Amino acid sequence: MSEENGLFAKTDEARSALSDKVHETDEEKYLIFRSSNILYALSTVYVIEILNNVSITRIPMVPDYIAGVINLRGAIVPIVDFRLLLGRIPEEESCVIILNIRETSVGIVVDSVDQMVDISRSAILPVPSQNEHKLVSGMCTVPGGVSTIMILDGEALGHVHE
Amino acid sequence: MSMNNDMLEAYLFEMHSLLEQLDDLVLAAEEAHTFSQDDVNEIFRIMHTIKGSSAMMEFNSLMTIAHRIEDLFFVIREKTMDAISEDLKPEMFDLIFQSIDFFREEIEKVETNQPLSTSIDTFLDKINSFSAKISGEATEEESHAEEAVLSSASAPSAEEAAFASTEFPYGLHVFFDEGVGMENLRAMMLINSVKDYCEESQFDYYPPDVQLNPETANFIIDNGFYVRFRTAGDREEAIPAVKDNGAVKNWQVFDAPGTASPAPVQTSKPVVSEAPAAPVPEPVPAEEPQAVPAAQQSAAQGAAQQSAAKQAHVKESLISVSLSKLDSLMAVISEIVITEAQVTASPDLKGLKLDNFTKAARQLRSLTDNLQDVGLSLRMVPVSATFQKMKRIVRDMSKKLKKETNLVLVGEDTEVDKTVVDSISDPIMHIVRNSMDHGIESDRAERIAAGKDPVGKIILSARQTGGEVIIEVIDDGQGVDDDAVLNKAIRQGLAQPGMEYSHKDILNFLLMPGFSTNTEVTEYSGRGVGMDVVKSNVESVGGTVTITSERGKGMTTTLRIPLNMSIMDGMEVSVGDSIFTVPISDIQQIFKVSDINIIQDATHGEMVKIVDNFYSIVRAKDFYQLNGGTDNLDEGVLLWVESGDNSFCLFVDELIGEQQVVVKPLPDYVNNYGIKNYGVSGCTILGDGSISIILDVATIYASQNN
Repeated sequence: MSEENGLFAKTDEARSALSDKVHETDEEKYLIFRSSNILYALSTVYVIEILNNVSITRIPMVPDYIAGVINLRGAIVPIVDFRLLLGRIPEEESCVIILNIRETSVGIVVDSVDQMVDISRSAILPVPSQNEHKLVSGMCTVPGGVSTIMILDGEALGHVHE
Repeated sequence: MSMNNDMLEAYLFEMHSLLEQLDDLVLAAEEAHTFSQDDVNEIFRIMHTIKGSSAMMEFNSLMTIAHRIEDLFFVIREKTMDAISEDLKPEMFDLIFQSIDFFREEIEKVETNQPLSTSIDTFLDKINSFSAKISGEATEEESHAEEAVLSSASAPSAEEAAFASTEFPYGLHVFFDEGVGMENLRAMMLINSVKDYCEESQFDYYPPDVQLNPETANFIIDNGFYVRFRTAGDREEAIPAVKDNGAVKNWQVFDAPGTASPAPVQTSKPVVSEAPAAPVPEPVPAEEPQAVPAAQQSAAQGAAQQSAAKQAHVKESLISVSLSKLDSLMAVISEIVITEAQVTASPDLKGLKLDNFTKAARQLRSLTDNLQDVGLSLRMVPVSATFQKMKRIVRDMSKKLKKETNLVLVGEDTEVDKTVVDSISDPIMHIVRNSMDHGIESDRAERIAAGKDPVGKIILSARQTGGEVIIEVIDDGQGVDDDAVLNKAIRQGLAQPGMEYSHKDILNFLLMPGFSTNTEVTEYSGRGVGMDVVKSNVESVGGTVTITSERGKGMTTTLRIPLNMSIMDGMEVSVGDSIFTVPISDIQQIFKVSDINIIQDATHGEMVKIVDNFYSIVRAKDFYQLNGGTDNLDEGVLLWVESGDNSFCLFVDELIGEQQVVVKPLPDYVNNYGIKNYGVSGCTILGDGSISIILDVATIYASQNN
């Protein structure tokens, strides 16, 4: 009996924790990844999965930042090299983040994936105008840390080709 | 349009199939120069359905015309085709064709959401005046017939005699109003009211199963309904019941031979006693002057009814499924095919000896092959519907242009993908029109002088070879006049004056945009759309068009269309670390060359000589600016490819092998960079899960030449 009670207590605790989170509506989950030693954050609503060791088929006659296409369980998904897209030289090490932006799948190649964090909307600051980039919608400091992260505009990533 | 879309869709589907059926029927009848009674019934039925459905959808113009035609055929059905004089028949066929066209036009308006015709009066008048002509003639005959009936007065006709019975000798022969419908039920109601006057055991009736068998309605329409009484007194009493029945047109009394009444002895006396018991041999109406042909007709009718019943049965086993459902089914099947290859050729299995697995994998393989075949066959439809339409076009044009021509259809049951059928229908029509217009000689004498049958002939054939359907339109007309075509091509700026052109080159001018040899624009061809539209339509489904012609002998236009577009046989080739798929159907030959065979042109282009022609070489590595791959011609292979009229050699590193591949489009994300203009038309997933890019040979050629 006592054991069961203990179990209940636990779930209650979890439940209250959950409801706490729901209340903090201005917080959003972000995936942080590293590309050319800069930290970027992308809202997890866009993120489908993270892949390592993918073989990308190059497509001829496209800009270099279009890395090619991959076979994702039978679907052909285009891959953009995020580092080349921002004009950086890609590192050896890489992984692919598959995104779903407005019902279309696209993958981005980044150096490595860091962690998931909750970022409060109020913590996101605007980018100074001379440092503006069409893919970056804001910046902030890692919660509880010192490094700065660039917040990416997911919608803009979906329109790289337009 | 506010009405239920499903209903509209069902209506359109029904209308299309009915009109097609009608077209076929009338065409066949016109060939036979008459309608069989079966045809008449069928047309009547079709018109009735069109009338009903159109009324339900509130398409008034359709309903009114269908109603009139139905009326017309009601008259024809009653009087039979023999009542219509020979010189009226062509007019009748034209009228029916016109009404089919009218229905088609209206249906098209419904489909394109345009308002329906409101002024149908002229057409109505036409039908009405024709109806009047027919019934005028028919009434004459009818009056004859009635006279005959009157003269035999209460004496039984042979027919009535057949229905008299010794047990119930006093008969009433009742006819209902024409077209009241449900004659069997009306007969039943009549019987019920007779019961008010007469004991049930005191009379019987024929056909006996009116209540249960709706088929008896037809018998009653044709032969009337018989009520027979035991005594003359009962009959007298029952007559008011017949009189008061609203649907009864006329009735007459008759007595069985041998009763007290002074009935003249009929020839068919021995039949009398057994006739009611054996209703199978249909009694021949005495009014019919031509007893023998009628009997034959009814026999033929029986046979036709049987075949009709069979047809109806076939129809029941068909269902219509939306194309999008089939497409998603095909998508799933494609996935299964790919996944199966991925599983069975998984690198994890390398070096393992798995007997059971291999066995099961083989079984799976054959099942997926089966599944794929079945899936593909679902989308396949016979070309017959498209071909049948041409019959009508040839018929109309031979009349209008006064060029008597027969259309011969070969291989109508050849099946092709639904999308292919849709996209070849217009091209075929255009080619057939061209043949009628420009091919077949306008003068019979000209044909006779050339030793040809005075009646022109167009053969429309379809056959399947390997992965292609070949559709040919062959006419035995005057053929292509090379000089005239060349002059025209020069005038249009398509050809250079003074240049030498081969016969084949000249024929190719016909397929170029902006070329139309007919100086005068006719109703049928030369409306600014030419063979180039045919060409582009056919190419849109991956097919090709070729023309061959011999002056004075005729012209043959050949369409070669891949059976299926989503799965094809490809040759996998590699260039550096890239893998490309070249459609096998485009590859003429694969060979190795050495540098000495290569001819350089002034601009560093390369050529190679194959048989008697020079072909330019496109190096895939340079064309796609790839990093890997060999530059040394000795090390790689040349694919001699041809698509449409374009032929060249593609240089690649090596051949990987032949494979059946499922064509997948590339995502927009990469397509937006214009790669299609460089011949990157799609991709496919290979057995090991890697992606191969499918090359479109024709586009590479075009891109290279720009």
